[in-house]
Amino acid sequence: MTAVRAELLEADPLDAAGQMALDEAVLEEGREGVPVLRFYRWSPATDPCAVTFGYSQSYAGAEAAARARLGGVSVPLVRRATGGGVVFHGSDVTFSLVFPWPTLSDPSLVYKDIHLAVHLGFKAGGVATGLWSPSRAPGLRPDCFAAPEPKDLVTPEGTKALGGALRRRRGRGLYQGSLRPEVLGLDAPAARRAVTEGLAVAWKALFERREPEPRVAARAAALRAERYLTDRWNRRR
Amino acid sequence: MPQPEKCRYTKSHEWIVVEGGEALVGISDHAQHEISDVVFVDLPKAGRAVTQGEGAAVVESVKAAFDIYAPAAGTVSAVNPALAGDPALLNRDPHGEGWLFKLTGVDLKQVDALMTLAQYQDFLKTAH
Repeated sequence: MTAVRAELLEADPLDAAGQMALDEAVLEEGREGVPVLRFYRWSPATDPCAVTFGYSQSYAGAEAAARARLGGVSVPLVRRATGGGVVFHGSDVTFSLVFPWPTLSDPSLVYKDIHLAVHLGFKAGGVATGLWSPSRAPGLRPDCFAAPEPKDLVTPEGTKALGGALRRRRGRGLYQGSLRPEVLGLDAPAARRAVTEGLAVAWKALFERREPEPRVAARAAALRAERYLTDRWNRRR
Repeated sequence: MPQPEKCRYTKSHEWIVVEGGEALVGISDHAQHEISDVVFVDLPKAGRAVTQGEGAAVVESVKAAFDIYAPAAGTVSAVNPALAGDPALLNRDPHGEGWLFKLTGVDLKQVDALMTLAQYQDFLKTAH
């Protein structure tokens, strides 16, 4: 079978608004039919460095969650284009995946597809994970990592290792994932390798390293300034 | 509320029906089924002018947000206030109480060019 051409996008370190903007720019402007995987490099590279929260969540709720977790540490709070809950960034391996999603389908099947690929990547390296499949869904929680949700990647003990959120726009999907390598006994480079290799095998994808094209970078700069840095977007609810 | 057979459909699964100079817009039963349990609906502001195919609303289900497009050009004249408190209306009654927004000044030629229910059902068969 012919390998699917895919891109491993390498961008400069970005703040939270810049990360969100670049993901949305790739969703809008990326090459037709070409999956794009990107591991975030954060600026500043501190832990914590940022908090992101889901498209429909309230700013006040995210702010309260950040205060409870981080105390007096002030980090940017940025609303995502994807759904889901509050995610604390810094020690996590954050990554995004833009992929063809031509036919409207149940998002839980998309999570399963992506997380199964990552599971296979860890399995190849001898790290056991599984997809959380409770007999009864517990209902979504405001904090993404408070407990696993169905189809999240978990350790054999049931600790959440990877959660993600999705956006579907014009036949393409954006997945934004947060992986906790420490719960798998891995460092960040090993976790990134496992994700890449898992997706490469499961999707028969041949990843080529690339930098953002000028039109993508320009769109990302505009989205950062006009959306993700603004109260109009972040405090809209 | 409009019967499915009286509506026109887009390939992105919105429906539209024009009644008395105003068009009602929603998403199809197929779409609500695939999107699954809706937890939030973000509707356009009344008075906003939209072009055909423009992203006009967002529906969020299981940690996933979906763009919803205007089936025809027009001006948003009203949105469904019931969805703010009960977004699952979209799942329970997508062709009735779960309507999304109303448009005035719609381009009727654009509406007429959309799929009938029979054509939409054929489209669903070929798209899956």
